[in-house]
Order: sequence, then C-alpha cells, then structure tokens
Amino acid sequence: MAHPDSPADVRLLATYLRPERRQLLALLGILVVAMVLPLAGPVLVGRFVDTALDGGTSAALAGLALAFLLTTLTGDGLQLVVTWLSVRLAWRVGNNLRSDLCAHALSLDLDWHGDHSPGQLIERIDGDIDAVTRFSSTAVLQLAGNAILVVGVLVVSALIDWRASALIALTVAAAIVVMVHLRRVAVPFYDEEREVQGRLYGDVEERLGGLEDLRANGAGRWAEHRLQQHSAGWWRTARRAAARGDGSISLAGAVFAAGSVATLALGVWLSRRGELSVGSVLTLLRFSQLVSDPLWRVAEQLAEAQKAVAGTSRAARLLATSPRITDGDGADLPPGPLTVELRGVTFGYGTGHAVLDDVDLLVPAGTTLGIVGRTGSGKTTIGRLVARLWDTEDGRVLVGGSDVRTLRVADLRRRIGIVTQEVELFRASLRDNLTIFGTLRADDDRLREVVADVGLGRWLRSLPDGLDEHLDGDGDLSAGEGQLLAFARVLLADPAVVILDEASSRLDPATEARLAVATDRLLAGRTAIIIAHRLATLDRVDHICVIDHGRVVEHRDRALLAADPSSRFHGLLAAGRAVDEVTT
Amino acid sequence: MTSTTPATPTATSDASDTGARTTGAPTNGARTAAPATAPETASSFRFAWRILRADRQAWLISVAMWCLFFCLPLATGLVLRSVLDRLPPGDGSGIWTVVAVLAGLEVGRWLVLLPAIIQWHGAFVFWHTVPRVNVLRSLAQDPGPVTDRLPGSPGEAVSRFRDDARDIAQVLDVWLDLVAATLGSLGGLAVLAFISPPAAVAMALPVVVVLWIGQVLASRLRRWRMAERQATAGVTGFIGDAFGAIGAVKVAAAEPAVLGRFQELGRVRAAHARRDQVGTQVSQVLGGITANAGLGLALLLAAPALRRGDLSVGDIGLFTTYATVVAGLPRITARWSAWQRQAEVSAARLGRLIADHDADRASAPVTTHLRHGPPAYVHDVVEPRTRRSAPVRLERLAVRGLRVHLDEGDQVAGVDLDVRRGQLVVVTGPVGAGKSVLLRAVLGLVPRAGGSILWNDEEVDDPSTVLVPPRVAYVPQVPRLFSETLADTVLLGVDPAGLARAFTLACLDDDLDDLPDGRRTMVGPKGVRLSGGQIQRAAAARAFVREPELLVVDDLSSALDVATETRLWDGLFTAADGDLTVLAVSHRPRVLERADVVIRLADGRRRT
Repeated sequence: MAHPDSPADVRLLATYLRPERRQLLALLGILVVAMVLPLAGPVLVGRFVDTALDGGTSAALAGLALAFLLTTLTGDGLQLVVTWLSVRLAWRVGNNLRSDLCAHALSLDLDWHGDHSPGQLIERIDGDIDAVTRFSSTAVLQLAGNAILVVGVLVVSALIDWRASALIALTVAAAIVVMVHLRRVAVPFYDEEREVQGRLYGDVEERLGGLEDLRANGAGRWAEHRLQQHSAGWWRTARRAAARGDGSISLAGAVFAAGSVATLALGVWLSRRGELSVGSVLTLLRFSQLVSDPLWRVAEQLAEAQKAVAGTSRAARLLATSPRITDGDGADLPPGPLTVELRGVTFGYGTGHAVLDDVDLLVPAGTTLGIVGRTGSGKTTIGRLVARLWDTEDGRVLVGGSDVRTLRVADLRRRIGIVTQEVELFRASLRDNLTIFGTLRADDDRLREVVADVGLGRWLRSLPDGLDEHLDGDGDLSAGEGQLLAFARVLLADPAVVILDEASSRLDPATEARLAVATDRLLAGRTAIIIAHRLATLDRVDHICVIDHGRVVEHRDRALLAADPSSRFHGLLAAGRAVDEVTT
Repeated sequence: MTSTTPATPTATSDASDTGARTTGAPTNGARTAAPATAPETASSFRFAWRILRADRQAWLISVAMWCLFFCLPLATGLVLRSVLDRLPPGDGSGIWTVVAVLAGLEVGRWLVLLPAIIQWHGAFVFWHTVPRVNVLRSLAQDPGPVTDRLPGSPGEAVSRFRDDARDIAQVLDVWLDLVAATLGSLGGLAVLAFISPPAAVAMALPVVVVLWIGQVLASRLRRWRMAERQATAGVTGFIGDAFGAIGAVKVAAAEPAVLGRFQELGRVRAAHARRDQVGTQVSQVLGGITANAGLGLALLLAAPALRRGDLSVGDIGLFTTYATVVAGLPRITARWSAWQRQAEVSAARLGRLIADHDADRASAPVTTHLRHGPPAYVHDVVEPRTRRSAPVRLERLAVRGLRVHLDEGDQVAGVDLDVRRGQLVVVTGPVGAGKSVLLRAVLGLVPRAGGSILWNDEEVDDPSTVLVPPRVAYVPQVPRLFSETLADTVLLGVDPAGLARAFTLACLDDDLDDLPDGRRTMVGPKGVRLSGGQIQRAAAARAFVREPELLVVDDLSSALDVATETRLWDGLFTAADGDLTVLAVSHRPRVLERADVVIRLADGRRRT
C-alpha cells in the first residue's frame, strides 16, 4: 500500500485542479473580502465598550452597533457566493475524476475484475471521490481563506498590542502542530475503516444477488453471521479511527482554549497596569477566539481531508494499476473473414496450473471449428484468448495473421463476436442492450430484424414500449431469452470471427432448431469457433478439435473423425447419438 | 470561553455531505418493486426511536456528553463576565482565581470530548447495524418470496443497506445535537432574560425569524434532495450494472459507449447536486447570520442601559459569548428537519425489504456482537436421512393447479405434477415455457397466483420456509457463488462432515486437485475464477451436502459435457441406492431417458 502522503496522491489532485486555476483565483478574491470583513466585528465591540465607559453618546453607541450589523452580515452574504462558486467547481473536478476512474476501471483486465466486485467499484469510483471533491472544492478554499483571516487577526491585534498578537500566533502554531501531527497518524486508520466498509458492502451485495441460492438451501443464518462479523469489524476500526482522527480535534480544541485564556490573562495584566483599555481586552479575546473558528473549519476540513487523502490514494492506486492487456501498434486487420491461429499456447490464469498446455490450433479463414472436451478442459479459455480477454503465458495467438498483441484491442474485439453461457444484460432499454449503449450502430428496422432473426420477434411485439422497453437486468428475461438476445448482439455486430461458447446450452432443442437458421446466416462467410458439449450443435462444422486436460488430442476434418471408429470424437458421437435416438 | 462553538466538531457530516448516497430510483425498480399499497414514507421518528431504545444506555451517554459540551460555554460566559467586571474601574479582587477557573472550564470541555466521540462512533455503528441485520434476516429467512421486496439490482439493494441505514443513524445523531443545542439555547436565553430582558429579546428575535425561514425552505430543500438522490442512484446503479457485465462490455469493445453514458448521468446528477448543496448551505449560513444579528441588536438595545450603568462591561462580554450559543439552535433545527424528513423515505425503503413492508420489523431489537464479534458459528448438522421423522421424510410431493402471474400474463397456468419417493421427474419444454418459474414457484421463491403444494398430502402454506433442507435443496439455473473459500460457499453454514462426499458426487474431485488451494481456494465474486461447469457443479455440491429428501435441479447440465454429466447422474443414483428423489428441468436426452416422468411445458401449460 502506498503511503497516503506520497507525492503521487498530491500530484493526482493537482492534475485535476490545475485547469481550474482561474476559477480558484476568482473565488479566492471574493473569499478574501468575505474573510476580512468579520475582523471589524470585535474591534467595533471593543470600541462600543470603551465608548460606553468614556461616557459616549447614545447615538455614537447605536452607530457602532449598526456598523457591527452591516459588516458582519455582508460577510455572511459573501460566504454564500463563495459556496455557490465552489460547489460548481467541486462537481466539475469530481466528475472529471470519476469519469477517468470509470474509464480506467473499464480498461482493466478481467483478471482484476475477478477480484473487485461491482459493489467495491461503486465505492472506488463514486464513494471515495465524493470525499475527494468536497475536499478539493471546500477545503482548498477554506485553507486559503482562513489563512488570510488568521494573518488579518495577527496584524490587527498587533496594532492593539504586539505581545497579544505574538501569543495568538503561538497558539495557532501549537494547534496546527497538534492537528497536523495527529492527522498523519490517523490516515491509515481511516483507510482501514473504508476498506472494512467496502468489504461489508461487497459481501452484502453478493448475498443479495444470491438470495434464492441462500434461501432455498437454508443458509439465511449463515449470511447473517457474515454480516455480524463484518459489522463488528467496522465497529472496531471506526472506534480506532475516531480515537486518532477526532483525538486531534479534541486536543487542538484544548490548545485553543488554553491560548484564549492566556490571551485574556495577558489582557487582564496589561489592563491592570493601565496599558490597555477594557474594550481592547474584549477585542483581543474575541480575536483569540476568532482564529479558533477558521482553524476549526480547517480542522473539520482536515477530517474531510483525511478521508479525501485516503480516497485519493485509493484512486491513485486504481489509476496506477495498469492493464496488462494494452493496445499494440495497431496493425490493420484485412477485411473479410480472418484466420485464427494458436501457436504453442500455454495459459493458466496465473495460477501456475496450465489450463491450456502447448496448444496449436489453426482455423483457416471462413471455416468453422468445433471444440469438444470435458468441462474444465480449457475450451472456454481458447475463446477468451482469441478475443484477448487474457494474454497467453507462453506462445502466440494470431488473428488474420497478426499476433493479437500487435493489434489495437478495440479493433480486434470489433471483429470478434462471442456468445457465452453467461448472459449479461443491463438495466436499460432493449435498444441499449442490443447496441450496448450505441456501440453498435443500427437503425430501428435493423434492430427489429435481428431480434426477429433470433426468434424473439413475437416477444418484441408483445413489449408495450417496443425497443424502448426497459429491461430489468437479468430479472426480466428467461436465461434462454437472454441468450437469444446475445445472439442478436452478435448478428448486429457483424464480426469476422464468431465464437459460440456453449451458446445454446440454455436453449431447448426446439428453440435451438429455430435459431439454427440465424446461426447459419451468422456463420456464413465467417471464421467460427463453436464450443459445445451437445454434439448435435456441431453437425455443420468443418473441423473438430478434441481437447483434454489442456491439450489438443484430436484435430481433423469433421467427416474424417466421425468416420474413424478409433477416434474419440467417434466414440462421443456414438454415445450421444444412441441416447438422442431413443428420446427424440 | 470559545464563544464560537463548533456545533459538532465530530465526524457527523451535515446534510450537505451526502453526495454519494444512492437510492432506489422508483423508475428503475417499478417492475418488481413493491406493490402500490407499500407506503412511500414511514415515520422516521418511530423508526429511530425504536433503534434508540434497543441500546438506550449508549444514546444517553452520548446525549449527556453532548449537553455538557454545548452548555459549558454558558458557565464560561458567566465567569468571563466576572473577570471583565473586576477590570479597572472594577476593584480587581480575586481576579486571578476567576481566570484560573475559566481556564479549567475551557480546557476541560475539550478533554471531555475525546471519550465522548469514541463512544459515539461505536453507537453510530450500532445504529447502522440494527436495521441491516433485521432486513437481511427477513430477506434470507422470513416466509414468502422476496421477488416483490428487492429492488431491481443488487447494487441498488446494497444502497439500501448503506445509505438508508445511514440516514436513520444520522437521525439519531442529529437528535443528540438537537437536545444539546436546545438546552444550550434556552439556557442561554434564560440567563440573558435575568440579566437584561431587552438583550434576551434581541437575541431570541433572529432565532425565531430564522427558524421560520428554515421552515419555509424545508420543503423545497427536500424536493431538491430527492431529485439529487435519484440522479445519484442512476449513477451508482449504472456503475454496478456496467461492471457486473464487464465481460459483455469488453467483448463488444463497448467501453467508450459505457463511459459516455456514465458521463451523461454524471452531468445530470451534478446539476441536481449543486442546487441541493447550495440550498443546504443557505440554511447553514443562516446560523452565522443569526449570531451576528442577535449580538448587533442586543448591543443596539443595551446601549441606553449601559450608559445608565444598569449593564456592566462584563454583561457585554457575556452577550458576545451567548450570541453564538443561542444561535446554534436554528442551524441544528434545519439539519434536524432535513434529516428527519429524509429518513422518512429511508425508513419506508428499509421497511419495503421486510415481509409485509413492515418498517417496525426493520427497527426491531436485535442482538449485535459489535464489541467482541459474533460467537463462533454453530454449523447446521445434517441429520442422517434414515433418522428423519415422518413429516420430513418425503413420500410424495404434489402440485395442484399451480399458477404464477409475474408481469403480463401467466408464466405458469395451472400445472399439476407429482413426485414420488425414488422418482426422477423431469420438466422440459421450449424457452420461455415457464420451466424455471415453475420450480421457483414450487420452492416459494416467486409468488404463487393460485394452486396448492402438498408434502406427503399435507398442504404447504409457505414453501419458502418449509421446502428447504433437510426436505429440499435447490440447484438454480444460474447459481451464485460468493467471495469465500470453495468449501465455505458450498457449505454455507452446514457441518463440513459431508463435504468430501458432496465434492465427489458433484464430480469436483479432479478440479479440486487442479485448484491452487484445493477446497480452500477463494472463489471470486460470483465465482468468476471457476469455469461455468465448475460453478454449476459447486452449486450441485451445495445441494448434495445437505442430503435433501428432494433434490430440485434447474438445468444442471447446461454447462456440463455429456461425459461429466453422465458420470454425475450415475454417481448420484448409485450412491443413493434407489432412494433418490429429483425434480429437474432439462432438455438433455440422457436425462429424459432416465426420467420416470417427463412433463412437457409450453406457454406455462402442461402438454403431456
């Protein structure tokens, strides 16, 4: 974990604040006026007292009281203007940072996403940044404005008595030392607290997503136990963080109080020696309290800052996590169908255990390859490597004759369409789901056409809002219907290479047969890899490859393999067909 | 003698600090959200009060500390008055003693604060935890389906746990401030009235005016806050969705489009948030205005009395201190009414997660184990099947005229089926025929619109709590694994004795050898590090380890190859020695061949 005060974090914030320099300066200008005006208050109150003691007229006293009202209320009004401007600034800066974090998280590898739940990302991209923006808008200005106020107090009080001014300065310095020192101590504890909360929410999110699994298997009590554990963890870290973070507030408060009483004592002493008027004693006392006010605000902001720094350092860490899968030089892929080739590919998701072990595979452009093999034999991994969702640990993957690592990732993926067994839908309109928020460009007629092509035409017509129908994530559609929509996406994308990974596993035979027409259209003139354990799906492929324990054990023309009684494929086929004939 | 009392120099963020909150946007969840009868708001006062009562002591300690902190400036004001009155032309007797008392009061006030804050943080966590435990308990254990309780996505549901629980905790916190500030404010006015009635009136007047302005502003602020929260929910919901489907996003190279949508949502939200935050700040600044106006007016009114000698210099010093204390009230009141109303929505939303939308159950007393952590988990022991009593032992499951009506039209329209002990009953049919819905309705996971379910000829009113282990275990079509070890996510609290057998039956033994830490391997969110087939078999192991009377399997084999699937069923039937009862959805010829009864569904009706 990076040290929270590391310059990288500061630089990160500075990067986002730099474009706002002018705004910040303008704000500062208004803030100076808003901060200096209140200085008149204590002076006027002191004058008021001295005037009364000297037997001044009622009119003079009333004038002073009115002047007091005017200056202080104007100062308050200006504060509002500052707020308006700084809030606008905060949202600009914050949304820029959020957007960059979101973009970066989107660019990170699936491997990384495997370790970070969407719930955690909500915290990283949004929760943390909230603290950061509040800091960068409010706190930065408060720091500057209040520094001005403190200097103003010291100058004006020096005009009254230099010793009092020195005493106030000393108090401020001591309080700052206490606050800064303890703040440093507290940051890792705030960090820890937020991490614990992140885990708590991540766990809750998962359990809520799997409620039916929990309920139907009688595991509700277990879920509650986990929540209790996480809550107890939060309780401990929250109290630990409070002891450090709020400890600084409490100690600094004591320092101010001591300084303020000392200033009063000094005033009493000077007054008794006849060197200071009673009004001035009151003025100096108010001044010594006035510096505590801005420093309070700063301290409050420092509490925010502690959270913001923790948030920033997590943001910096997220931004510093680089995706391993990055764009190549961007060699151009030729138009038309593309050859897919694996050369000596070894891969094991970084676990040291090879899921694919020295695999060679060639799918000539425009042909279809069927891959069969036991579950866990590495079939799915081949598709993921071709789309470069992961990079090989050894060996090369070539698409269209180019090593996939030399291509721009988006260029590659635009030419590849995948349908997997896991269908991922968004809570958005049907249109957005089909085009993935407009990534695939198509007019409404084309959208209706592909939906009809995959056999969902009737379903679409039954939707009250048609293409604008809001889909409720995974909840609205059956798993099979979801898979049909995924087919529609690929039809729409018109890719050069199609990978169907158990794409029809959730479909019943009748639906699958209907989809066959669409599949034929999809495969025509394209390179295709079809991963299936239902062998009927592979009737129309050109070649078959049998994978076992990460190795290619057979790879030949389908007809040849099917005809060869010694081949494994033949064996599988015989076993499967025997059953199919009995039941269908 | 800090005349400027920082209202709460603690971590109590004020109402403007809530940009991150997410709420269930009503538009998103409308489809599955609560029925129209569910209230939009619930009494946040009652909700918070019930939580307060769950640990009265914690709250009382906090409130005592807060009152001390808020009211001590009243004492320091009086002491300051006596210092100033002793200055020339006063006689000066004992002035240093009085200064020393002042120092003790002031420094002591801050030292009281630290233990108060630590204690408060613990209580703050407790206030969050009570509704959370209640809601999760109800969702995971109460009778009846949860489909009509949960909002659209888990991301949205988690915001209920996070933000709505926080709103309630904030109410309890702001009550502390309110009690303490009211006490300080009224106490200050009482002292002032004793010293100088005109000054008391002068200071009370701005307070009254500002309280009135706050009242006028409140409804507008509330509207702005609601709009802001909805926009925020849009943003966080979208993050959850986009990253929940990150695979699909990446494969489609849709990152730019997703980012574009995110930015669009962010812009909308920023507009709402700016208005909300500035509005809230207005009510904050009103506090400062109150203090200054109060002091200015008091000076104006006190001038003649000061000239007459009816008021002393010390009294003016006291005014300066009390002006701030008295002015604390409007600011706290504004925060209080904002939070209290905010929390009405939150209380109702938490209540909607509970069966019958009963907000009281969400705030019911629960045992938490915050200080020492919960006691070690006592595993559910799986009773050997031979020793199970007659009501548990399955002879026959009968379903009569089952109807399910979810959106428009019936998903299941009057289905009968029987499963006798030792049978394999397979439900098959085209996509969208209602196969999964049928199973889920039998298990009570979706609401039934009609029909009955009988276990050994005895009617089951609430299958969701009766048809669970040891009677029934369920393998869903799209199983969810959780971020824990493979063993934990399979066991989910069941005694680990049968684990090895369950893994073997699920044909996971070979896979265990290949996993880095075997059964102790951490599986990521939704088990993404496992293959689809492994996830499905882990879910199967989850059901097997419970040794149910009836196994309900939704398309177990969709992610399995023929050989593994055959091995799995063979092993299962061999191990059960003819005493295995299964209700399954499948298209697989192999399974259909083995079935004792095949039920074909189409359009929610039985065809055979």
